[in-house]
Amino acid sequence: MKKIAKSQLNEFIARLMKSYAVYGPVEEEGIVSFRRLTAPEEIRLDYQNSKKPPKEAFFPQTETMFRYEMGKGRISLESTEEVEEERVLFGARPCDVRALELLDLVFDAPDYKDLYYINKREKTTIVALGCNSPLSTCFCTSFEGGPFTKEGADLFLTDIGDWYLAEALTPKGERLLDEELFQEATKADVRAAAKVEKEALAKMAPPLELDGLKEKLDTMIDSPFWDRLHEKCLGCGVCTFLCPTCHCFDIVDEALNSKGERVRNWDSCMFPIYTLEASGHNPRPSGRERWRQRLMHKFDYFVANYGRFLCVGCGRCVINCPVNLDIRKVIADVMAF
Amino acid sequence: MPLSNPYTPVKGRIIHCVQFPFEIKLFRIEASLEFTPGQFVEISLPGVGEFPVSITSPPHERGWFEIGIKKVGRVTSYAFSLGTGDCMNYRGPFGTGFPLEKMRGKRLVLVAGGLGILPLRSFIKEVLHTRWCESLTILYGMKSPEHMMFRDELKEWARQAEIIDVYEYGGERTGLVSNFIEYTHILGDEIVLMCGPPAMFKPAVKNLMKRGITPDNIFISLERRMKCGIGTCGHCIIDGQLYACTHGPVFQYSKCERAASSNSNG
Repeated sequence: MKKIAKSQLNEFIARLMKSYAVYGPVEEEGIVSFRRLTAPEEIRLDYQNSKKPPKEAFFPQTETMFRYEMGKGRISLESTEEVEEERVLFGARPCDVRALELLDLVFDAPDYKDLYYINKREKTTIVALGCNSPLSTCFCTSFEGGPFTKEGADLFLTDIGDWYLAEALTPKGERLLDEELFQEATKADVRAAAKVEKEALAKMAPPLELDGLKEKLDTMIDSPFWDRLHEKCLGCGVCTFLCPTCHCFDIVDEALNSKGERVRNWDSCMFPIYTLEASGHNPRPSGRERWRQRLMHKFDYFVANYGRFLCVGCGRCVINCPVNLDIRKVIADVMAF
Repeated sequence: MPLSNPYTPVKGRIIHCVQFPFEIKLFRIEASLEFTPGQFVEISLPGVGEFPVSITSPPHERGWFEIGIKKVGRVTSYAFSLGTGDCMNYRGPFGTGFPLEKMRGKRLVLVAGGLGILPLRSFIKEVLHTRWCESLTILYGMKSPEHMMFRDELKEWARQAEIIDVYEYGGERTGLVSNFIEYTHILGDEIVLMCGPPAMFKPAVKNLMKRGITPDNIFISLERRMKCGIGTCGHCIIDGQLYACTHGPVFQYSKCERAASSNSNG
């Protein structure tokens, strides 16, 4: 176990930036989200929950799949899936790191490999930071997580006042431990971390009752439960856009004259045109079917396909919903239905 | 060896095309493609976009494959304007085709509604080429006699198969194709393949089941908005955990009952 003084943090990041592209939480116009740092001072680690999840570092909101140029009777393609630089994702929260393991199941499937995602994952070292003060909307403990879950991280930091306790969990994480900046942690430091962790856990609401949720949903596909649930939903899609586990995307071409690129953009199952076919047939014509799809995908279908719930309890959909449709309450209502 | 990128289009060139009435066009694309009838490709037109479409030629025809397009949206409208000599890139094949092994030596009934004839044509031509079924009955429903595609091929197929052509307006047999199931020589142990508009499935299956066909022996080719083709992007999820693009587009009716029989199938 190592530690680094908070006053040394900028120096640490500056050194990382010499050999890695460092992505971290940055506050811009009051919104914290992850992007590539241009200077160490930009990083903001005291945020509670970033507006946009760090899945963007692997699955950007907008991503070029290839560029092309059309000549006379021929088209030349330039692929863009290669990732040159080694990367560090710095300061991601444990729930968001766990979400990446769920995305791995989809993008790194046995039959097809999504190289855009996989290449970035392979080139990235993840430095996670525990949550000292979870929000009232956090429910990670419902999904086998917690404010200090280390699963998926390469290096795990815990804020213990003037220091960050640093635990390397993989050889990739080990490589970041600069000998000049890190020193051996004392027993008192480890005890301090345990105390911080205990205090954070005490702030968490009791986990949701999820036993039998999938089995319950299995029987509810034609239930009247869905008839009213969506009534106040505006269909804005923010719950899915800001979700660290949602992974739907649309593919479009953007071209000007003979040059262009194929781009994929985040998409949302909450939009009516998401399923609309050219014929005019829409298999999910109203909010009823779209809400059912969102909930079923997360808590039924994904469990059937991969054995895990497609949720890590980050609470973004709860915080950002403009009409306060709280997924925790919806789950409780399903269980009680 | 670097992994191959399933999103990279493969070069194809149009070597032949046939235009049918009502803005439908058949394209023959020069390419080497291994596939099973019922599978689809993503036609990939740089600068315009992509759309999923069933392969309509049989796999035993080598060196090219055929697709049929109706001019509907932005991308198909552009594709429709292309002709012999033009580039038509594609990705695929994707999905699961018709269960050929299950059908060997069996009596087969095919129900096609409108453009639903396109994926079934791949199968029909393959079966008639290899002659491995006991009998083949094709119910082909369309709006009017002018909507008929592959007129000459149908005449040829009629030498080896029973063809029941049904028209919503005009023609000898007028009505919906699903209503003509009772006039076929179905014994009850046939295997049925079906493709057509969503409204066709429910009445057709009902009438087939009246004749003793079990839901396990009915296979439907469903169409959804398959964007990625590889079970990732989420657009084509039907009936629970199934992705139309990887688990389908051909589904056993017992597995896709909701998707095939209602308009709001989640």
